[in-house]
Amino acid sequence: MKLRVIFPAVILMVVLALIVQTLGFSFKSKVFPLTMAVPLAVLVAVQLVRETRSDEVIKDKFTGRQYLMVGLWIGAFLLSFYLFGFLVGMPLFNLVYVRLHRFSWLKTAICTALVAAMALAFYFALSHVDWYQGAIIELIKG
Amino acid sequence: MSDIITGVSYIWQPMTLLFIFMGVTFGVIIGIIPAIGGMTAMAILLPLTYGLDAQLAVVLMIAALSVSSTGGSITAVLMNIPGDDSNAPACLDGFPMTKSGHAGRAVAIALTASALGGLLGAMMLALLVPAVRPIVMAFGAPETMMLAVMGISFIATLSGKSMTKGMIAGLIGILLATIGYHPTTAITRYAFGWTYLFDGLPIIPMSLGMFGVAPVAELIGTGTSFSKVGNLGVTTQWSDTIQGIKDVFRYPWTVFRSFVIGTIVGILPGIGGSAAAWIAYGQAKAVSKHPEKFGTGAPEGIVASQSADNCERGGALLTTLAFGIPGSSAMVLVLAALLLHGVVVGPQFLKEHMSMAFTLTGTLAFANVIAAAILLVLSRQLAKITYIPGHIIGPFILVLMALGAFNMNGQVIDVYVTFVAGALALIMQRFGYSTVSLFVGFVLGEMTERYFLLAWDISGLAFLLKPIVLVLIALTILGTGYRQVAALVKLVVRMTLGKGGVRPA
Repeated sequence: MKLRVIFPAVILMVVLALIVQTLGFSFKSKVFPLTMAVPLAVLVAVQLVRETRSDEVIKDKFTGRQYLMVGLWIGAFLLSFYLFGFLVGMPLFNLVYVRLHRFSWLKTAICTALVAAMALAFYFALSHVDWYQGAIIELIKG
Repeated sequence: MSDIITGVSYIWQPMTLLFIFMGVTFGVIIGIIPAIGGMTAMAILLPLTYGLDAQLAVVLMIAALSVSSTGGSITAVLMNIPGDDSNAPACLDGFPMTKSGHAGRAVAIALTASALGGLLGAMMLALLVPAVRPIVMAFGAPETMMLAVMGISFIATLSGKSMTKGMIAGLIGILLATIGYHPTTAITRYAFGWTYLFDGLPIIPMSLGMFGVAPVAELIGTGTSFSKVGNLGVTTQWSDTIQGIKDVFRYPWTVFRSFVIGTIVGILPGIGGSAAAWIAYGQAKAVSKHPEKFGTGAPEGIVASQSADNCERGGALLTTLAFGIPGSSAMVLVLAALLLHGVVVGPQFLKEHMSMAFTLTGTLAFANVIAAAILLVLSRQLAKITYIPGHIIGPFILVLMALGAFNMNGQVIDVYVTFVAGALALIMQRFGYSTVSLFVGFVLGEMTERYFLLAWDISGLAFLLKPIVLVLIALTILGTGYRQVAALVKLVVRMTLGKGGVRPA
């Protein structure tokens, strides 16, 4: 199956499910979403048929490996944030990322210090907000 | 006349100038940080103004608010990260210019257009103060709904190569806007019991995800800098900046249309700068001689959105002062500051404090000029950011986005929503669906539904026959089908007058 068929197919399934759910709402609640969802379902169905018949080649700006690397790095960023929070997780991610891309220790240290300073600036500026400290600290705190 | 002289002369007092300068500096810095817009700036400043004289307090707040969007346009142009959601349209043409090595020029266009918009908005504010009442009273729910529909209709012109894909993206955006509490029945829709979604998807994480994640992915994926063409010495020269300033004055009609759109949207409560910027952008593309250049680095696109956005502030301030109706969410806090200092706004304000109204008008104009001048001087230095290697600046922007998303409500989940929206944007771009169309639908969808239901409740479908609604419908058709209408008129004229435009004997 062509890769580009998947997107309209998924959207069509989601929209059909939404239409079914919307039918259960009161008139006022359903009139606007239905007015939008029904034409959307029709347009997506048309596009789905077009995609299955089309032979056009989509030019991609990334290779498969690059997609994987981007996904992994952003995943690592979110994991670092989840585990260690803002004040530790973000500078830590920056340190690992910059160093692994073969920048000197000096440049790595400067970048990490800048990120830490930015996180601290936000921390002090937004002292009214309950800052997320990371899953590990929260686990230790109980 | 004496009110004008008293009001304007107050601005030139050293203490007032100092407060304007402080407000401008604060507003620009706040604007540059993603997701912290005018509203946050006002929220931070409000408690600080408590001990101040009423006029100085409001001068400080207006100076900061009027330039917060100007600061936001810099990150929009240089990094594709809108400082505020109203800066998102500036990404569309500003960032491609940066990528093609014209960062200095793009920044200069954004700043000059912002300053010009702010100046025109202030002038309009001064002129309209005595005449605004009938305009506001003429715009009820049907007219406001039609204005939102006008914005949504530009999805067709923003669609890119495939109109079907553009319409699909726009409709997805509108449906995403219906998540959460229904505006009149308070029934929760599509939240699946998840309390986070009860108030709907938050706009800031959505805008950061839609516009910020894709360029960061490119930085991380390729390791190259934002600007891939040209060399640092050439593209950060003064000539590039001066060219950018000249570019704005090459499009006087675009500035004029944006000024009209910005003023009307600003006067109407509850719409906001984001709608003004998108409507102006769509309108500029619809009537441009080169619509195909929009989205690839067309100076006209930046001029349209930035001038409308800054112009909107003048209109919003007008209704705040003249009626006590805040023209935007940030104006609620300006209103609060005035009330805090014992100044009652509304018709009485214009009788008792007319000179203050002119001081604020002057502040609005002056702050815009100061902000643009300072940032234009710095624009060559700012443009150098785009030459920093991708592996250095990429993680820095990731952190900035996460902090920006978290800052809005202090919720960790907003950070994850940002990246989910970013993933959706990447998938959509990969398969040729316009993320811009989705975002326009998302921004204007909720407003359209709310005002549609209000209009329906008042007069059923008969609201479509109201004179202003009919004019707006005509403008919408003209705006989206401008080329087709022009071709049709040409054809009719030719058929009537014969070939060459000469009436047959």
